[in-house]
Amino acid sequence: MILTGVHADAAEVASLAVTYLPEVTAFVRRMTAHHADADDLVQDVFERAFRSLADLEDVARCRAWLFRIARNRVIDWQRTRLARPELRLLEGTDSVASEPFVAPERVEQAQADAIEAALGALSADLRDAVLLADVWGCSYDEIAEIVQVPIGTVRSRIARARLRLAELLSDQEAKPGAFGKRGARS
Amino acid sequence: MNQCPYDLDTASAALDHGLPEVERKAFEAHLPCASCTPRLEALAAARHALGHLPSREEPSGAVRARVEAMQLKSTGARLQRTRGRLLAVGLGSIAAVTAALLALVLTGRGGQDSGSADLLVADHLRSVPEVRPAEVASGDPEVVSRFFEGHVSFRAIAPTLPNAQLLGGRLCRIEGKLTELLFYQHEQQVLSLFVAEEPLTVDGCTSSRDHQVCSSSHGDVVLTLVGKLPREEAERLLSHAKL
Repeated sequence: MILTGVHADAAEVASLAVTYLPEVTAFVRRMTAHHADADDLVQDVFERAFRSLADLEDVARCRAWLFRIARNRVIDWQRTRLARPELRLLEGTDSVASEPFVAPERVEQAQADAIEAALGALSADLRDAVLLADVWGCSYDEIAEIVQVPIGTVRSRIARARLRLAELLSDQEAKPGAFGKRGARS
Repeated sequence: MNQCPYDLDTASAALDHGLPEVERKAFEAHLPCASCTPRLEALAAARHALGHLPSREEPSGAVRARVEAMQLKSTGARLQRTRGRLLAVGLGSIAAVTAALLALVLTGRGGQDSGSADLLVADHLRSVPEVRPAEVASGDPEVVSRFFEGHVSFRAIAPTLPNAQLLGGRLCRIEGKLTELLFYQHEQQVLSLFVAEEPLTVDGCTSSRDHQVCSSSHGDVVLTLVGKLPREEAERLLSHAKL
């Protein structure tokens, strides 16, 4: 009965993991800027996950666990690509004015392409944290687990990312195309 | 402006309900603040703007098929090993394997259900309108239901819930079908109510990430309430919903 329980748990986790396939797909595609390799990476993420089902101690952490595998896998993929000089990326700047002027209504009404451009102007660390929080609704705790940094760092990254985004989006009409070049991490 | 003791991180965490109770109360008590109020508005606006980005995308059919095949292979292989081990130690029997299979199927269903509940909670957390409520902002059920007319395949409604104020709503797509997503202010928090033609999760309540996800059928539609509230309260709200 104990054996049955253990293996039934593995089946439960595997089944639960598959329900996150669309979220993991969106996450990987975003992190790879919809590169043709994205779907192969998604498949690889699940292959790794199914191979290490026993590593997941708490089923409630299944999504964060999958996101962590996905993020690590994409980072490995990026390192391989970045080794090629023609694909070296430009990182955005995360400096925020101490009290920037921001028009909230303009930020809220920002169109998807403007949001994508503003995200591209953030550093990868800030971008990952704010996307996990505000697009995937991850808790600080989950984000800390996914990106492997302390919760205080997560909190700070999210705050700085939001303010920088608000500043960029508020400024978009005044300075069209002013977000800088977008990297592959988006 | 320089007198305010709260920094950017605190304001941002306050939006996410990420402050300890004592700190949250102190922070809220100091508002409005010349420094924090515009900062909160800016942070909330950015958060709201990001909430429009897609959090789910269907993989190609080939990828889905391969992942599902891997899932079956993975769990099937484990089951085979279980069976072999049971037989080897003399404890295995047809009944035991059948029980294992049954457990596999039942827990598989449980997993799917937790997954659905998890996704609904994620939608709720991402959609709760901090700045302006959604695509239609009104406390009038007629105004809100009119917004959904012609967009959903069932009769558009905006139910009233006891002790909860309708805030508005927006359309969302679940499993390819357009669904109503309504927001209600209930005590100190915002609740999400999904109105759909088909069940989004199993009937009754399940919890996910500290939230209750409760579902019940009301005539032609299924209401699914999501929020951080006691199960009994969620059930009470749903059972007293007026369509």
